[in-house]
Amino acid sequence: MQPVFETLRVGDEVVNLLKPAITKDQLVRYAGASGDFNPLHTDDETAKASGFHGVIAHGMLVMGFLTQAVTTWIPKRLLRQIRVRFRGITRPGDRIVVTARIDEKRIEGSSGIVKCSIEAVDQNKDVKVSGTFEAVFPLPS
Amino acid sequence: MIGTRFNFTWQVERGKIAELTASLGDDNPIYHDREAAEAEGYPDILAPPTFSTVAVLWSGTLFKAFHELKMPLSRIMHAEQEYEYFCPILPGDTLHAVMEVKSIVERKGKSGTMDFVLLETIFTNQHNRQVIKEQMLVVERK
Repeated sequence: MQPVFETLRVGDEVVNLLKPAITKDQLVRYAGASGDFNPLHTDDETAKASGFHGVIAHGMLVMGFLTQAVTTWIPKRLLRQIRVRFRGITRPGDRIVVTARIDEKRIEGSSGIVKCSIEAVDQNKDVKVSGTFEAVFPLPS
Repeated sequence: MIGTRFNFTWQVERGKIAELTASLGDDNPIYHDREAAEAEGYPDILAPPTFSTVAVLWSGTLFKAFHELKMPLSRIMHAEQEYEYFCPILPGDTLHAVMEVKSIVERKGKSGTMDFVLLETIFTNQHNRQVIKEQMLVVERK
């Protein structure tokens, strides 16, 4: 069911997506899919030489979880803009939870604008990625 | 280097969309089932929201920019990412993109000097419609 602008309230938690634990296999697949072959994400030795315990996830993989969560809540066509900051290192085994909350609602002409804050945290509630997005709901005329 | 532009063209293939959604574990049917996408009013399946970055990377444009800016990959971290959406990206689209170095800001912190480089890429499709604008902020540890 598509959310209805009129029923949305500032403060509502509107997104809650629990992802399965990230695997090394997934990082290899994401490298191939995205074209980001930085060995930091696929080769433990390289990651260790850079001061990590082992491979770390692509930040953009986690951002992909955020946009998956958003376009599960609203149809993709309503998503106008999303901006995120990469805050923490994500590793294989981490289970990411994406949540979002409505910060602001306003009407602009024949559209309802909804601004939300969104974040991805791991199983220890450490923030990995956070940001904001804006959705545009067409209003019945 | 500010204002330097990199042009590239990218053909949107169904297979690259499938690879991206599979690696993310995003099973939204509008990205892989044409009938489901049509039911939402699209002419075909569409690309997921972070797809344009696949073009930035696979086209080699980002690495070319890093090379021109003399930024070694091993010292770069991705700090921020933003997308602004104008119309959907569909399989078979030919995207014309321009990446521009928008700003380079040096900041001195406790752990040393860092350069913040803002790269903006604007994609236009074969119908001359702007489809997406993405901004990538990367940090080079000096």
